[in-house]
Amino acid sequence: MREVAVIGVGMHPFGRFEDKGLKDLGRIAIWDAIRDAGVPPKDIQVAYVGNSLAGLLTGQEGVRGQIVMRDAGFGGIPVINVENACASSSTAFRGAWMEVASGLCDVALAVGVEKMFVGDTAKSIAALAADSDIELARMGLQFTGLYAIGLKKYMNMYGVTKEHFAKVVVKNTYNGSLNPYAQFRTPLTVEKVLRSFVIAEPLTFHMCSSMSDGAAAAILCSKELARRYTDKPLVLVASCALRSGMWQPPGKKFLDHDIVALTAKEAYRQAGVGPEDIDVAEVHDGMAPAELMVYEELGLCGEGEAKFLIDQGRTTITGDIPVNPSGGLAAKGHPVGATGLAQVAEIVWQLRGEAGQRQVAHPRVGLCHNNGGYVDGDAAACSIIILKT
Amino acid sequence: MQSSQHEPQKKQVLLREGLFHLPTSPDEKPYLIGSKCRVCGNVFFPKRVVCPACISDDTLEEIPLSTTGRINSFALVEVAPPGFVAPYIQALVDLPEGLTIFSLIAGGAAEAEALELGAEVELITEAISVDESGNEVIGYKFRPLGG
Repeated sequence: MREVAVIGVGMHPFGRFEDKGLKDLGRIAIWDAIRDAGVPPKDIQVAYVGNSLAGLLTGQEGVRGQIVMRDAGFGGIPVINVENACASSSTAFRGAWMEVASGLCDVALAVGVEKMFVGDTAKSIAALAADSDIELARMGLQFTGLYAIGLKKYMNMYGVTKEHFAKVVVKNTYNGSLNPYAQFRTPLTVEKVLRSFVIAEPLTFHMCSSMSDGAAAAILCSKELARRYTDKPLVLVASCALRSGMWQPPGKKFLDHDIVALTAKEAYRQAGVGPEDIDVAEVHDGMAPAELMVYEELGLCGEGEAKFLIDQGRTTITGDIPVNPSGGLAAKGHPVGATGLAQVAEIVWQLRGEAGQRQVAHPRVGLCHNNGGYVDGDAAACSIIILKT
Repeated sequence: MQSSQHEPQKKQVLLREGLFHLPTSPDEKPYLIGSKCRVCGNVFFPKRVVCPACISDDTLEEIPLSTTGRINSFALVEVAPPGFVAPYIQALVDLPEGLTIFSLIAGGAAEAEALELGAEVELITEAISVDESGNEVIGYKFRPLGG
């Protein structure tokens, strides 16, 4: 396997863009990444395009990737469509990485694009429920409620309070206020988060990620050819781990058989690093409080210790282990099929020292954690990508 | 337009065939239908063909599941999906066979307030939602036992 560099990243800002469709969002992110990489467009040999909901929301069920790529000017090259719920574009990244690592291609493009504001909120919510077993949705399973069930157990076991959850939102909305690509740019207070309406106790409105339109893209290239294109600090793919959920045996403890912990273990092994080496992380806070559980799943702290990390401010931009400097899903927005590559874009900017006001001090190793969907008691997909300079 | 004197009775449909036994007389109790693996002994719900612990397709047998269990964790859902009426309680219920299943819990905000982790609950069947055609959907729920 060859070493692979991410030589360019690009984004269309996340938010509500009534006048833009899938093609517009995708094209802007793709060309942003091309300019960032300094790569001649004709050198791109393959494209992996992640999207989750366009079939149900826009009616574009088939060949979504080709539709976006042709509009962006690309034909002829292989285009692979990738659907993996909220982890669609990190899975697309893995495809592009494999193309280059295997030697099949020298330059590959990964794209994630999602259009969720289609003028009918109920339709968007129903489409999201289809990222689980649709037979369960008929039983009354509701995602936020499911999260709440898990959180209640977690709070009970480790003495975690709603204030701890609110503090995660306060941190992430502050970070989001510094991010020009973020959907929500207003910092919130603990009081404001707790006073927003309850969706499923203990989750309030401001703790939950929002619908969003957006896109993100990355250009990957073999390490030996990277310098042909770019003078920027070289960001390498240290690992790219992907798992699907599995049957959970009875009586399992919190971190046993945990999809995030298992994926992290594989990612750390591939990269030859441990959690103590991670300088900055973008994690999947579909509901902001879940960020605390992810600290423990990734091994950034011991089991039950996440509340201390947030209380002591250790995961803020200036803390010793900054998490979600982009604002995370809750503040940056969560256009599901674009989220994974937006995490990659943020970590690339952080590692190159280009993150502006939200720049973390001299990071060398960064981690992206992206979950997707729900099947039979577990996440459907989990991706962890570790990047290094 | 005049409304007819006798409203046509709402049609009732089953949530899914093979999910639970619906009592046909007042003497009968409902039960959930699961699968048990002859080799590893694990129990699954809903019933399935392949044992995911052994990855074998010829070791599962259909069994009736216990009709009482304990609340593993629960949440009061205040924003309902289409066809459901908020607020309602959804939960994970631990059954004595050693599996944890997703279920709704009978009641609303007041019942959620009184509910505790570990509380004993009993299976019932009742209308849980209304489908796209306006039919009542008969599903299963658990209700708290005792005080």
